[in-house]
Amino acid sequence: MGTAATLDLREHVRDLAATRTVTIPWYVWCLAAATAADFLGGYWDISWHISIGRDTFWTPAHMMVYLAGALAGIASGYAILSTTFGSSDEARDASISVWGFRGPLGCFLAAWGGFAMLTSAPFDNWWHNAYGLDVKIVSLPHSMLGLGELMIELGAMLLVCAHLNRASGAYQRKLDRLLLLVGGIQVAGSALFILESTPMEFMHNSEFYRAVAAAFPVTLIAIASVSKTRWPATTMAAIFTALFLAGLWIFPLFPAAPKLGPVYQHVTHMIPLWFPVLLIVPAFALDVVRMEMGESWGTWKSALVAGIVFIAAFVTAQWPFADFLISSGARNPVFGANYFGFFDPAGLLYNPYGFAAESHAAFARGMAVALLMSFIFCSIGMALGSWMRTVRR
Amino acid sequence: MLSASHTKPMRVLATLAITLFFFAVPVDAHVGSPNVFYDADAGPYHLFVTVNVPAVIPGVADIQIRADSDDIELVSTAVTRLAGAGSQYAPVPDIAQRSAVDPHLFTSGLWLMEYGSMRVMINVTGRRGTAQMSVPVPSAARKMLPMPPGLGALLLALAIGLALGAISIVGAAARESDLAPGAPLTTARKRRGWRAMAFMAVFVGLVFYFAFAWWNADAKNYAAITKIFKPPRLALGLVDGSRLKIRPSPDDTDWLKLKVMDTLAPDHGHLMHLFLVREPGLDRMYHLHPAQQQDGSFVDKLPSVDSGRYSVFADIVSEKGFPWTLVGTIDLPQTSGEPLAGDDSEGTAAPLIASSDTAVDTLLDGTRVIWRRNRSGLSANLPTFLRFEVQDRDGNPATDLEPYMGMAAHAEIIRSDLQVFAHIHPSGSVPMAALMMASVNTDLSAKASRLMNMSDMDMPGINMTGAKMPAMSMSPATGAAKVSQDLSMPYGFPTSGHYRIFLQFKRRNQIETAHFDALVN
Repeated sequence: MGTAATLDLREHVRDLAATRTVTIPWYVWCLAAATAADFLGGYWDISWHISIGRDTFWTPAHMMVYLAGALAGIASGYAILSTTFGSSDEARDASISVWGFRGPLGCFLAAWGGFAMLTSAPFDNWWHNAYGLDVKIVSLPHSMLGLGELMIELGAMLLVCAHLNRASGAYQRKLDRLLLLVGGIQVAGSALFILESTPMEFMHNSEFYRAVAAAFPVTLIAIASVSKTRWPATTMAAIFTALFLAGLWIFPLFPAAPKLGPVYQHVTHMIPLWFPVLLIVPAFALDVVRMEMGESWGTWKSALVAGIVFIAAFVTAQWPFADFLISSGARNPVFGANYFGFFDPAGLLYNPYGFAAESHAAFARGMAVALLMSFIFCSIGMALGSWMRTVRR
Repeated sequence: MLSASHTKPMRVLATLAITLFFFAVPVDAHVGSPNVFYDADAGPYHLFVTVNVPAVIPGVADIQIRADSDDIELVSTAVTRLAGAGSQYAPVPDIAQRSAVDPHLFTSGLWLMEYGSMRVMINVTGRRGTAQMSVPVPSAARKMLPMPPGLGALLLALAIGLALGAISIVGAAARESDLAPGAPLTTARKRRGWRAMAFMAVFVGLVFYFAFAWWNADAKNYAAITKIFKPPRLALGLVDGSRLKIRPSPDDTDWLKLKVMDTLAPDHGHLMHLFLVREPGLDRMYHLHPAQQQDGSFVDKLPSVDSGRYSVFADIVSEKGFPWTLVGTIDLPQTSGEPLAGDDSEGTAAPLIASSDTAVDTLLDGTRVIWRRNRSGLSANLPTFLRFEVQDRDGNPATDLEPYMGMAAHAEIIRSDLQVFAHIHPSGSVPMAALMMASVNTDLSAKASRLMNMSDMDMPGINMTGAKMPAMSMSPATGAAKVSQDLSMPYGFPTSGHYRIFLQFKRRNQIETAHFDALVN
């Protein structure tokens, strides 16, 4: 008893020492803040497009995205330049070399992401002039922008991982929490990118499940493989859910009116994005599977199990929930099934409260593909996660 | 009744889906003359409106509003659909800017977000109160902008930089990222880095390949849309030597899927206005009104027609107010048909030659028509009024003009190479059928209805209530419509070139056709 108490005390003292002597560098927080600003900017921008329509270079949503770019630029620029030209051997020892510059891998990725975002701007502008304004989220220039944003998020996660894998004690736990926060924001960002495939009308269609299988498992599994916490995937899914619920409940509090025509819906306030998908259920299932599998987590068999469990748990939860979302009970500010963008002819030219038609054969084929995708992306997530556990620079 | 099977469930930025829906009702106004010109009253204010329709949709329409009076304080504009869904609500109006040079001119830029039949709503506030005007605008994509070489080079350089950066970062990540801090870099590590770079180079190559494939597919889709909005081709045939059969070309499969011909709206009392113009001199013009058959095609029993190759322009308006002009050519033999009757008419002129420039046309019955042109000449892309005066054989103002198909006059404007064709009226280039739809439920319709009781002029299928016809008024004694001898038509020639204008009006129950030629710079 006495020995155990002494050990606990020693550990506690060591933790305290770690906490006192090592704090998360400001540029790590800065890069993490960039991912948060980027998500907020993205959510706000889509809401702006469906509520107001007309935008300028200076809309607050765009400003948030610029802020994200600026924060990422400052964080990665400082880390790379101070490591390259500074005198800290510790920083140089924990760096990689690209084109003569030295710095953390995460910062190089974030810098690359920032350049990709910058490159997408003139490309997107020309695209609008040639083919019209933003007619869809998933266009080539938007994908380039999204890739840049993804690299900033991945850079932030790798930067945190590098510190986490070199840390111990309370400092490690603090970094672990930050990693889950950035991972949750990344999951939410992925949800924005698949928005066109995930309206409630699609929730009984295979396309919906294919989109979910492509968007979420990689980050959930990769970060869960790195994190030392008990419920990492569940935590990230909870962060995603909280962010989307906050958007759903807060955005409509602000007045807005369409500035583009034609207008199909009478819009008087900011239109939020829809109720979050029930990702928390398969995320919880993945955490349970990971704990049950123990050391065999990361093998192709575990990826197969994770892929099946992810889809099965998600379908089990989302399918009946879709029935509720499409019912009159969800047409309220809590579930938001009554919100439609100003240009959406819902209720005028189509019935938004009915599931899109898909033949049984097409659905079966589509779900088989969704299952295969789930397996593949779970495998990628495991491979990424096992590599991220080794990243130290 | 709505049903789930008809859903187009793209709720976020679903313009593309909406666009596809509206393929059921798109149009191209005239041929090679996409802009809209409209001259009318908005309550007590007289306005001349020009809508420069963008070539790319969504895109910004440049709107110019010129007021006759100087008592206007504020002009605002907004876009809605012409009719049905999307016509009920208007967005926050755009405040038009008053020109610093010309206080009568207001300009506004409005986004046209969708293809199809749109309505520009104009609100005017001035010392005589507030009034509204609705202008139908056909919104259609016409072309795809090429990539400017400078921008293309910049993007290529940036893309190559990003590709090299990605390859280098992946190489460095494989080489060093999982090394303990301070650990030395071994040869094996360096090899691992090179292998990763080689793998990444292949991966980047694949990304470029698929990105360009995606880009090409999108560009192809957009090109297909612009193709749909090109004037549809006609299939023309002569039956029994004198009956002209008119139908859309069966080769124009994409356009046929729109089923435009199934539900047409009558314009000036006719479902189709057919114009036959003899090539190459534009020296014969027939304005006919064929009847639709059970199978959807149109048939016209031709009058006596001089032989030759004819360019054919068939104006129709869809039930949603979208004007299309179908085009084709046919070689006609000398035909001996029945005399022209009803609203059918013809025009004869000397062949159009490069030096043709006409300001006065004297018709066979002695009627003189004078085109009062600006001394500064005609310029392309400059909205103006084509002003004509009709005189009797003695040179006195003709006081016996009558409405011709509900209008004071009609004009067909044709460029010498037949690549531009427009059919306009004193109110402008807007089809009457669309105008009727646009004015529904606006203050304008009620006010205009009170000012001008046009119910006597109703034509089959058209409710003319609420439309004020420029250059026309009512006789207080008889209640009959009177037409001024001064005819004025708003128009802007779209391009430079040599043009022929056929001006048609009715006098003493006789349809007259004058012609004028002009060079547009």
